[in-house]
Amino acid sequence: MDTALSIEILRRDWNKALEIAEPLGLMLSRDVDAPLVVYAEYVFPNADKYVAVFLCKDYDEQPPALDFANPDDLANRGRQWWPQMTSAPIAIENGIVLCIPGTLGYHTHSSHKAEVHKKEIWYLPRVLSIVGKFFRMVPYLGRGL
Amino acid sequence: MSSPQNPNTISVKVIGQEGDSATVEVNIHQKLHHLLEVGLKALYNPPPSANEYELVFNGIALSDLEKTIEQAGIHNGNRVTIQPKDVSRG
Repeated sequence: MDTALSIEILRRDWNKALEIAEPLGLMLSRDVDAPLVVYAEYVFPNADKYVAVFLCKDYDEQPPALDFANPDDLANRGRQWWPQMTSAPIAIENGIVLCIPGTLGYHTHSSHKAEVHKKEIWYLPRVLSIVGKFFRMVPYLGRGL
Repeated sequence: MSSPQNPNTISVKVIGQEGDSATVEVNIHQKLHHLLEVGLKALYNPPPSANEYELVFNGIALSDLEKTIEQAGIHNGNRVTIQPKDVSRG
């Protein structure tokens, strides 16, 4: 998929994403040098800060890929930066998969890739809703999976 | 966002899980359950059952719907999202 087209489609969804981010407690930003990378910062009541990273390559033909980054070094990503949410459905297989439809890991997982979904299910505002829900799947046990 | 004439009446922007939004007017002494119901009516036609949805404000689900809008700290011009209580799990 053409990168410029993906950027344009992401721009289409950006205002709605900003609107829903605020009540979800997420602070959104985009990488100036990589416009298909979106960051969503979330701070728990104990002040632990997390940064969800959405890699929107081939958006919206493909879902955003979800990862978490070191809040102080956004290029440093991986399972050590994910929050432990006790009641969240997580699979650890070749990376971490949030077992809720909407992110790339779910839709490319061997258990789910035969499922048919409309692509609206992975539009950015809805994916933010999923991540907001993920942060509410308490108790929160700390950083790292 | 301008405040309605009655000082107890406020405008609240409700946002569905897909990012669609609507503005509703409510009295701060009404319960959160009322805000949830009018929000669902404003966003969806026909509105789904309020029992399957929750209000999320500042990243926190407002679980006690018997609280008033004022008690929940919702003010004129605030944004609240209405989210499904349960998500599809694979």
